[in-house]
Formats: sequence, structure tokens, C-alpha cells
Amino acid sequence: MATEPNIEAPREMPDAIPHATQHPMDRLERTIGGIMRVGVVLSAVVLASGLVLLALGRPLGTRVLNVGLVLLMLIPASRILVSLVDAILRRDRLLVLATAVVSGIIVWQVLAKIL
Amino acid sequence: MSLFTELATFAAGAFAGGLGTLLGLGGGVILMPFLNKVLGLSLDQASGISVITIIATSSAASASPARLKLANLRLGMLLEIFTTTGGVFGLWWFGQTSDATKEQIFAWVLALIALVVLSRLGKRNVILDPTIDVGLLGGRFEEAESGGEVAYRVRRPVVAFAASFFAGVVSNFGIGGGILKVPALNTWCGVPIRAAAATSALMLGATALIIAADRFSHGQIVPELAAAAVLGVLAGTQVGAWFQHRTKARTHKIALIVILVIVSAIYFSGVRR
Repeated sequence: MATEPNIEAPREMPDAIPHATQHPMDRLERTIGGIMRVGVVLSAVVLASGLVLLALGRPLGTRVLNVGLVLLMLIPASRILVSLVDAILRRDRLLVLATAVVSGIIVWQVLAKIL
Repeated sequence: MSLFTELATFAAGAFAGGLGTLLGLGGGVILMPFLNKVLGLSLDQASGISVITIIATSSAASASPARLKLANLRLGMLLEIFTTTGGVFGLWWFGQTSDATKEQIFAWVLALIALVVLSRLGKRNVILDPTIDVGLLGGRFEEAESGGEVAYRVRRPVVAFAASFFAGVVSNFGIGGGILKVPALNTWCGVPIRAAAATSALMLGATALIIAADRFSHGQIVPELAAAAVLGVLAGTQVGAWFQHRTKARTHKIALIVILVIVSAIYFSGVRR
């Protein structure tokens, strides 16, 4: 399975290198921004629906509210997971270490309590 | 739960979210005294709702591409090790501390931060030559007030680590921790206040998640109030983001001091009563 990335690299260089060295975090920035936008809109819609259901006297509303709160809590969790994957792909050792430690703490603290 | 309580919580959330986004506080420092002192929720219940709104503020603030550009992702992810560790330590420590003691610590913490910000009111940390090497953790961004791209290096990383740990500990008060990180990063580590605020906002979510999950699992979160507060905060965040680029850094600092002093005074007087 020994691949030789050096043979492919020169062809890409004129375009890829300046961009990559100037803004290595651009892709992660876009992904995180996307997670934040989708997560916030989704949980806000679910929370608002829950409040409306409760105002109409439907007991289901409380369950919907809890789903909304869990969705909200999933936003930072998925941001860290995505950052970990990105750090591994970019072989950024410092950030692999940092995001792995934080992921470990969250798994230990959050999953142990919620499950 | 009365409709009036929910509407009041929504309004308080909107106010907290607006100012929180503007100052990089997460808004909890305003929402906490409201839930705790006005609505009469316990410290644990109030901080539970407050940290949930912090997840919302943090996420909404970082959803804007302009604000993500200000944030220093590398620095934020590294500091998150210390904020989350501090958060877990705080959970354990506060679990065996009385509410009266917690309130007193809260008041002292806020007063001390206000003093630190006050002592550095006139200083700017931006390096105007954007061609410098910013090092492993530094960053650069566009700023209209300085007229172009600005760059900065991160000095004294150990101070940033320590401040992040303490920020994680005090997150148990439902105040996010931006309130400690932003002044520390700005005052001692040379990070411009806007970059410090954006970086702090981004990483607030992880610690808030840990504390929210703890309160959630203990049934201390009133879902209706949490939802009203979150929706209020999200509405307020939009307004805060609009004002961000239309006010000066010095104005941010003065507003920060005023809020810190008021909330600190509320908790000091509460202890005496």
C-alpha cells in the first residue's frame, strides 16, 4: 500500500501551496460555521415548536423541548469532533492532542451522565 | 409556569444575548442574577439554564463568517483543554460548597476582573505591521478601526492556560467564562479584545456542554424557562452582532466594567442580608 505522494505534488504546487500555507484553517472554519448555523436554526425551531405545543395545552411539548435542548448541546460536541477529524487530516499534532483530550473529557462527563 | 415569567425570561435572555455578544461574555453574567435573584431559582437551576443559553450564544456568535475570521481557532482549541478541565474540577468543588460561599466567591471574582479591565483601559495590543511572523498561536484579522489587516502574537501562554482553567471553574456559576478569558487574553497575552472575544465565544460551548449535561441529568433544568431564555438570547445575539463593528473597543471595556461592578454589588449585598 506504499503510495508516493511526491510524484503527484509538483503538479498541484502553483495553486495549492500559497493557499494552504496562508489559510490552513479555512476549510475547518467553513465547516464549523455550517454546523453552527444549521444547529442553531434547527434547535431554535424545535424549542419554539415545543413552547407553542405547551401553550396549546399539549403535554408532548415538554418532550419536544427536551429534544431541542439536546440538539443545542450537540452543537459544541459536533464542532469538537469535526475539529479532531480536521486536525488528523492535516496532521496537526498539537490540535490532534488538544481536540482528542477535550473529546475524551466530554465523552467521560457527558455520555456517562446522559446514558 | 406563568406566561409572564416566560416572557420576562425571553426579554432577559434577549438583553443578555445582545450585550454578551458585544462584549464576549456569553451573557450569563446578566441572566444569572435575573434567574437567581429575580425569579428565585436556586443557584444550580439558574446556572443550568444560563449555561444552556451560553451554548446558544456561543454557537450563534460563531455562525457568522465575519466573527469566525476574528476567532483564533488554534488558540481556542488548545485553551479548551484547560476550560473543560476547570469545568470538571468546578463541578466537583461546587458540589461540596454552600450557596452562601459560592455567592461570595462569585462577587469577588467579578470585582477582581473589573479592576483588571479598568487598569488596562487605554492599552491596545494590535501590531500594525501585518507581515510579522505571528508564531505558533498568534493570528491576524481585518479591522476597520485600525485601517486594514492587523496581526498579534500570543505572549505568556501559561497565563492563558491558567485563566482558561479558572474560567472553566467559574463556568459553574452559569457565566460562561468569557468574563475571565477575554480580559486575561487581552491584558496579559496581547490578544486584541475583539479576537479574544471571538475566540472565547467559540470555545465557551464545550465547558457549557459539560455543566449543562450535569444539571440536565440531575433534573435541574426547567425546560420552558430554558427554551424561553435560549430564544431570547438568540434574538439578542443578532442585535449584538450588528453593533459589534459600530462601537469602539474602549466603549466595550467601559461597558464591561459597569456590568461587572453592578452584578458584583448585587451578590455582595445578597451575602450580607
